[in-house]
Amino acid sequence: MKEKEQYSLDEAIGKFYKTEPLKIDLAKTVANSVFGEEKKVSVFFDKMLYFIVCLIAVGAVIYCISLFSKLSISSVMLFLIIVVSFFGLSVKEHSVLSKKVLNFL
Amino acid sequence: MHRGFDEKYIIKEVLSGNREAFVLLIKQYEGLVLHIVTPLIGVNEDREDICQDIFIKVFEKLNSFQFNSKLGTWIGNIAYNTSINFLRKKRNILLSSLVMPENELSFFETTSADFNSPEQIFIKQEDISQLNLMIDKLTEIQKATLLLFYQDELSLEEISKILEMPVNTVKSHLFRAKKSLKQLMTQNIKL
Repeated sequence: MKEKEQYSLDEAIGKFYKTEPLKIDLAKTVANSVFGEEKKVSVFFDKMLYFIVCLIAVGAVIYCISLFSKLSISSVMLFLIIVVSFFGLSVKEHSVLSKKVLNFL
Repeated sequence: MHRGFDEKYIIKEVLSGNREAFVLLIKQYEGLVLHIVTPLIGVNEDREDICQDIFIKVFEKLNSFQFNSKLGTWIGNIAYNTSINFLRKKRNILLSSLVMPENELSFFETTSADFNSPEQIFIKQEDISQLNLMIDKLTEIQKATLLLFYQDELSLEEISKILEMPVNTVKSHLFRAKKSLKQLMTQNIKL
C-alpha cells in the first residue's frame, strides 16, 4: 500500500488553512459606496451607439470625397498627412496604455 | 500577490477616480485584510462591515500614503487598528487579553532562539482538516501572526509594523502558536 503524502507543519499552514470568505462581493460593495452605483449599459444601447458612429463615419467619408474633388491635390495631400499623423499617434498612445494595463493586471 | 502589481500606478489611478483600479486594489489586499480581521473579530456580520470600513478608510487616506512602507503593510495596519477600535467600542473587551503578558514576551529578548524550534512535525493529508480546527483554537493574535507569516508570506518586520509590536514579540507569538499546534496535533492525531 502506498504511503500517504505528508506535509511539514509550516507547509500545511501555508497551503491548506482556509479563511472563511466574506458573503459579500467586497470590492464591488466598497467601490459602489465610494464611487456610487455602477451604471449598467444595455446591449441595445451599445449596438445603437456603434450604429450611429458607423453612420457618422460613412457620412464623413462621403463629405470628404465631395470636398476633395473641389480642392487642389496639394491641399488634399496635406489634409491626409494630418489625419494619418493623428491616427498614428493615437495608436501609439493606445499601445503604451495597453502595456501599462497588462503590467498592472 | 501579483508580481506585476505596480503600487504607484494603481494609487495614482485610484486617486484620479479610476473605479476599476480601486476594485483591483481591494481584490489584491482582501485576503491580507481577512487574515487580520477574521482572527480578531470572528466570522460574523461585523466582519463584513469592518472590512468595508477598512477599504473606505484606505480610499480616504490614500493621498496621505508616503511610501515609507509597502502598501500592503499600510493597509494591514489600518485593518488591525480598525479591528482593535471596533473591539474597544462595541465589545468593551480587555485588549490586553489579545496580547501576551510582558513576562512571557521576554523570551526572545533574552535568547537567540529561533521561532522555528519547536522541532518540525509532519502532517498526513488526512489530518489536514484536524490542523485547521487546531489553528482556530489558537489565540486571536497568534492566529493572525501565523496567517500573515505563512499564508501572506510577510516578513517579521512587516508583521511587526502591521500589528504594532516589536519583532521579538512577533517571533514569540509564532513560536508559541507553533508549539501549541504541535501539542494539540500530538494529542489529537497519531503523527
